[in-house]
Amino acid sequence: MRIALGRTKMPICGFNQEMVQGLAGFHNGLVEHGVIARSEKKDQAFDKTIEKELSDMSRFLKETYRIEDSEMRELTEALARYACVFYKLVQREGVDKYKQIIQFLNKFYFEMDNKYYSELEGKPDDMKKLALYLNEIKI
Amino acid sequence: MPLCGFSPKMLEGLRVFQEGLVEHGLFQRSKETNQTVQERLEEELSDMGRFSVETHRIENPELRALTESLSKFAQSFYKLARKKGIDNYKQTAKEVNNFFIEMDAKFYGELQGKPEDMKKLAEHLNAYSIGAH
Repeated sequence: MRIALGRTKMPICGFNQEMVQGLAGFHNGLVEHGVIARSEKKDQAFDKTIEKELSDMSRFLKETYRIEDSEMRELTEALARYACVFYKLVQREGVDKYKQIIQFLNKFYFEMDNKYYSELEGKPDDMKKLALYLNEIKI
Repeated sequence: MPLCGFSPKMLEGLRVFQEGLVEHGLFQRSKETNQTVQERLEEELSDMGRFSVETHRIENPELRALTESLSKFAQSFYKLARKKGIDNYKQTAKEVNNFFIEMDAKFYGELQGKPEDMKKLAEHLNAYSIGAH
Protein backbone atom coordinates (compact mmCIF):
# COMPACT_ATOMS: atom_id res chain seq x y z
CA MET A 1 0.00 0.00 0.00
CA ARG A 2 1.33 3.43 -0.87
CA ILE A 3 0.00 6.47 0.87
CA ALA A 4 0.28 9.80 -0.85
CA LEU A 5 0.32 12.49 1.77
CA GLY A 6 -0.77 15.67 0.08
CA ARG A 7 -0.54 17.73 3.26
CA THR A 8 2.60 17.91 5.30
CA LYS A 9 1.51 18.57 8.85
CA MET A 10 0.01 16.78 11.78
CA PRO A 11 -0.49 17.35 15.48
CA ILE A 12 2.45 15.22 16.37
CA CYS A 13 4.90 17.02 14.11
CA GLY A 14 4.21 17.50 10.43
CA PHE A 15 4.18 14.26 8.49
CA ASN A 16 5.00 13.60 4.88
CA GLN A 17 5.56 10.55 2.71
CA GLU A 18 9.28 10.34 3.48
CA MET A 19 8.69 10.43 7.21
CA VAL A 20 6.06 7.70 6.99
CA GLN A 21 8.50 5.60 4.96
CA GLY A 22 11.22 6.32 7.50
CA LEU A 23 8.98 5.07 10.28
CA ALA A 24 8.08 2.04 8.17
CA GLY A 25 11.80 1.28 7.86
CA PHE A 26 12.13 1.51 11.62
CA HIS A 27 9.11 -0.76 12.10
CA ASN A 28 10.43 -3.28 9.58
CA GLY A 29 13.79 -3.36 11.30
CA LEU A 30 12.23 -3.92 14.70
CA VAL A 31 10.66 -7.12 13.42
CA GLU A 32 13.11 -8.35 10.79
CA HIS A 33 16.25 -7.60 12.78
CA GLY A 34 15.01 -7.56 16.36
CA VAL A 35 12.72 -10.59 16.20
CA ILE A 36 13.09 -12.75 13.09
CA ALA A 37 16.86 -12.63 12.60
CA ARG A 38 17.53 -12.85 16.33
CA SER A 39 15.17 -15.81 16.73
CA GLU A 40 16.93 -17.63 13.91
CA LYS A 41 20.33 -16.83 15.37
CA LYS A 42 19.35 -18.12 18.80
CA ASP A 43 17.16 -20.91 17.45
CA GLN A 44 14.23 -19.82 19.57
CA ALA A 45 10.56 -19.03 18.95
CA PHE A 46 9.47 -15.51 17.96
CA ASP A 47 7.37 -15.21 21.12
CA LYS A 48 10.34 -15.99 23.31
CA THR A 49 12.49 -13.40 21.54
CA ILE A 50 9.79 -10.77 21.90
CA GLU A 51 9.38 -11.58 25.60
CA LYS A 52 13.12 -11.18 26.12
CA GLU A 53 13.16 -7.86 24.26
CA LEU A 54 10.19 -6.59 26.27
CA SER A 55 11.87 -7.67 29.49
CA ASP A 56 15.14 -5.95 28.53
CA MET A 57 13.38 -2.73 27.55
CA SER A 58 11.31 -2.73 30.73
CA ARG A 59 14.47 -3.15 32.83
CA PHE A 60 16.16 -0.40 30.86
CA LEU A 61 13.23 2.00 31.32
CA LYS A 62 13.60 1.62 35.08
CA GLU A 63 17.15 2.94 34.81
CA THR A 64 16.84 5.70 32.21
CA TYR A 65 16.20 8.33 34.90
CA ARG A 66 19.97 8.17 35.36
CA ILE A 67 20.52 9.78 31.94
CA GLU A 68 21.21 13.37 32.87
CA ASP A 69 20.69 15.09 29.52
CA SER A 70 16.94 15.71 29.58
CA GLU A 71 16.35 15.70 25.82
CA MET A 72 18.38 12.53 25.28
CA ARG A 73 16.64 10.89 28.21
CA GLU A 74 13.24 11.78 26.76
CA LEU A 75 14.21 10.64 23.26
CA THR A 76 15.54 7.34 24.56
CA GLU A 77 12.50 6.70 26.74
CA ALA A 78 10.06 7.64 23.99
CA LEU A 79 11.77 5.36 21.49
CA ALA A 80 11.99 2.47 23.95
CA ARG A 81 8.31 2.84 24.87
CA TYR A 82 7.38 3.03 21.19
CA ALA A 83 9.35 -0.14 20.43
CA CYS A 84 7.77 -1.92 23.43
CA VAL A 85 4.24 -1.13 22.34
CA PHE A 86 4.98 -2.02 18.72
CA TYR A 87 6.30 -5.40 19.83
CA LYS A 88 3.20 -6.01 21.96
CA LEU A 89 1.04 -5.20 18.96
CA VAL A 90 3.05 -7.54 16.73
CA GLN A 91 2.94 -10.26 19.39
CA ARG A 92 -0.83 -9.96 19.73
CA GLU A 93 -1.55 -9.88 15.99
CA GLY A 94 1.12 -12.39 15.02
CA VAL A 95 4.66 -11.90 13.75
CA ASP A 96 3.62 -13.25 10.34
CA LYS A 97 1.28 -10.26 9.99
CA TYR A 98 3.89 -7.60 10.67
CA LYS A 99 3.75 -6.09 7.20
CA GLN A 100 -0.01 -5.58 7.51
CA ILE A 101 0.50 -3.99 10.92
CA ILE A 102 3.02 -1.56 9.45
CA GLN A 103 0.61 -0.73 6.65
CA PHE A 104 -2.11 -0.12 9.20
CA LEU A 105 0.10 2.24 11.19
CA ASN A 106 0.93 4.16 8.01
CA LYS A 107 -2.80 4.52 7.44
CA PHE A 108 -3.44 5.46 11.06
CA TYR A 109 -0.88 8.28 10.99
CA PHE A 110 -2.13 9.44 7.60
CA GLU A 111 -5.74 9.56 8.81
CA MET A 112 -4.68 11.53 11.89
CA ASP A 113 -2.98 14.07 9.66
CA ASN A 114 -5.78 14.26 7.15
CA LYS A 115 -8.56 14.65 9.73
CA TYR A 116 -6.77 17.37 11.61
CA TYR A 117 -5.73 19.56 8.72
CA SER A 118 -8.67 19.02 6.40
CA GLU A 119 -11.35 19.47 9.04
CA LEU A 120 -10.41 20.18 12.64
CA GLU A 121 -7.52 22.63 12.74
CA GLY A 122 -8.43 25.86 14.48
CA LYS A 123 -11.89 24.68 15.55
CA PRO A 124 -13.03 24.43 19.17
CA ASP A 125 -11.94 21.20 20.87
CA ASP A 126 -9.89 20.27 17.80
CA MET A 127 -7.54 17.93 19.66
CA LYS A 128 -10.33 16.29 21.66
CA LYS A 129 -12.25 15.62 18.45
CA LEU A 130 -9.13 14.28 16.80
CA ALA A 131 -8.46 11.82 19.61
CA LEU A 132 -12.07 10.64 19.50
CA TYR A 133 -11.91 10.29 15.71
CA LEU A 134 -8.94 7.95 16.02
CA ASN A 135 -11.23 5.44 17.76
CA GLU A 136 -13.02 5.01 14.44
CA ILE A 137 -9.86 3.63 12.79
CA LYS A 138 -9.84 -0.04 13.65
CA ILE A 139 -6.88 -2.34 13.36
CA MET B 1 20.66 -2.74 22.28
CA PRO B 2 18.00 -2.77 24.97
CA LEU B 3 15.63 -1.27 22.47
CA CYS B 4 15.96 -4.33 20.26
CA GLY B 5 19.32 -4.15 18.54
CA PHE B 6 19.60 -1.49 15.87
CA SER B 7 19.99 -2.35 12.21
CA PRO B 8 21.05 0.02 9.41
CA LYS B 9 17.47 0.04 8.13
CA MET B 10 16.17 1.21 11.49
CA LEU B 11 18.81 3.91 11.81
CA GLU B 12 18.12 5.17 8.30
CA GLY B 13 14.39 5.26 9.07
CA LEU B 14 15.03 7.26 12.23
CA ARG B 15 17.31 9.68 10.38
CA VAL B 16 14.69 10.31 7.72
CA PHE B 17 12.01 10.79 10.36
CA GLN B 18 14.07 13.25 12.39
CA GLU B 19 15.12 15.28 9.37
CA GLY B 20 11.53 15.32 8.14
CA LEU B 21 10.40 16.79 11.44
CA VAL B 22 12.48 19.85 10.67
CA GLU B 23 12.31 20.01 6.87
CA HIS B 24 8.58 19.48 6.60
CA GLY B 25 7.30 20.27 10.06
CA LEU B 26 9.21 23.53 10.37
CA PHE B 27 10.84 24.77 7.15
CA GLN B 28 8.04 23.96 4.75
CA ARG B 29 5.20 24.73 7.13
CA SER B 30 6.64 28.06 8.20
CA LYS B 31 6.59 29.09 4.54
CA GLU B 32 3.01 27.94 4.14
CA THR B 33 1.86 29.79 7.24
CA ASN B 34 4.11 32.82 6.73
CA GLN B 35 5.77 32.33 10.11
CA THR B 36 9.36 32.28 11.19
CA VAL B 37 10.86 28.86 11.80
CA GLN B 38 11.06 29.70 15.48
CA GLU B 39 7.37 30.63 15.61
CA ARG B 40 6.49 27.43 13.78
CA LEU B 41 8.54 25.39 16.23
CA GLU B 42 6.79 26.92 19.22
CA GLU B 43 3.39 26.31 17.65
CA GLU B 44 4.23 22.68 16.90
CA LEU B 45 5.30 22.17 20.51
CA SER B 46 2.10 23.85 21.68
CA ASP B 47 -0.05 21.69 19.39
CA MET B 48 1.66 18.52 20.59
CA GLY B 49 1.18 19.63 24.18
CA ARG B 50 -2.53 20.21 23.60
CA PHE B 51 -2.85 16.87 21.82
CA SER B 52 -1.11 15.01 24.64
CA VAL B 53 -3.84 16.20 27.03
CA GLU B 54 -6.49 14.52 24.88
CA THR B 55 -4.85 11.23 23.88
CA HIS B 56 -6.34 9.46 26.90
CA ARG B 57 -9.50 9.38 24.79
CA ILE B 58 -7.94 6.91 22.33
CA GLU B 59 -9.48 3.65 23.48
CA ASN B 60 -7.12 1.12 21.89
CA PRO B 61 -4.27 0.93 24.43
CA GLU B 62 -1.57 0.09 21.89
CA LEU B 63 -2.56 2.82 19.46
CA ARG B 64 -2.82 5.30 22.33
CA ALA B 65 0.65 4.39 23.59
CA LEU B 66 2.19 4.45 20.09
CA THR B 67 0.69 7.87 19.40
CA GLU B 68 1.86 9.25 22.72
CA SER B 69 5.37 7.84 22.36
CA LEU B 70 5.78 9.09 18.82
CA SER B 71 4.51 12.52 19.79
CA LYS B 72 6.89 12.58 22.75
CA PHE B 73 9.81 11.60 20.51
CA ALA B 74 8.95 14.43 18.11
CA GLN B 75 8.62 16.93 20.96
CA SER B 76 11.96 15.90 22.41
CA PHE B 77 13.69 16.11 19.05
CA TYR B 78 12.30 19.59 18.47
CA LYS B 79 13.57 20.69 21.88
CA LEU B 80 16.99 19.22 21.14
CA ALA B 81 17.09 20.80 17.68
CA ARG B 82 16.15 24.16 19.23
CA LYS B 83 18.99 23.84 21.74
CA LYS B 84 21.55 22.80 19.13
CA GLY B 85 20.40 25.34 16.55
CA ILE B 86 17.74 24.52 13.97
CA ASP B 87 20.16 24.95 11.06
CA ASN B 88 22.28 22.15 12.52
CA TYR B 89 19.38 19.67 12.42
CA LYS B 90 21.11 17.14 10.15
CA GLN B 91 24.08 16.97 12.48
CA THR B 92 21.74 16.72 15.46
CA ALA B 93 19.87 13.80 13.86
CA LYS B 94 23.21 12.13 13.14
CA GLU B 95 24.33 12.58 16.73
CA VAL B 96 21.08 11.16 18.08
CA ASN B 97 21.62 8.09 15.91
CA ASN B 98 25.22 7.84 17.11
CA PHE B 99 23.93 7.94 20.68
CA PHE B 100 21.71 4.94 19.94
CA ILE B 101 24.57 3.16 18.15
CA GLU B 102 26.76 3.67 21.20
CA MET B 103 23.99 2.36 23.45
CA ASP B 104 23.74 -0.72 21.27
CA ALA B 105 27.49 -1.32 21.15
CA LYS B 106 27.96 -0.88 24.89
CA PHE B 107 25.10 -3.20 25.78
CA TYR B 108 25.79 -6.03 23.36
CA GLY B 109 29.55 -5.63 23.35
CA GLU B 110 30.12 -5.48 27.07
CA LEU B 111 27.20 -5.34 29.49
CA GLN B 112 24.56 -7.83 28.40
CA GLY B 113 23.97 -10.49 31.02
CA LYS B 114 26.16 -8.85 33.65
CA PRO B 115 24.87 -7.63 37.04
CA GLU B 116 23.22 -4.22 36.88
CA ASP B 117 23.66 -4.15 33.11
CA MET B 118 20.92 -1.58 32.52
CA LYS B 119 22.00 0.70 35.34
CA LYS B 120 25.57 0.67 34.01
CA LEU B 121 24.29 1.31 30.50
CA ALA B 122 22.27 4.37 31.55
CA GLU B 123 25.23 5.73 33.49
CA HIS B 124 27.57 5.08 30.55
CA LEU B 125 25.36 7.23 28.36
CA ASN B 126 26.13 10.24 30.55
CA ALA B 127 29.74 9.95 29.51
CA TYR B 128 28.65 9.87 25.89
CA SER B 129 27.18 13.34 25.67
CA ILE B 130 25.72 14.37 22.36
CA GLY B 131 27.88 16.73 20.37
CA ALA B 132 31.11 15.36 21.83
CA HIS B 133 31.51 12.67 19.15
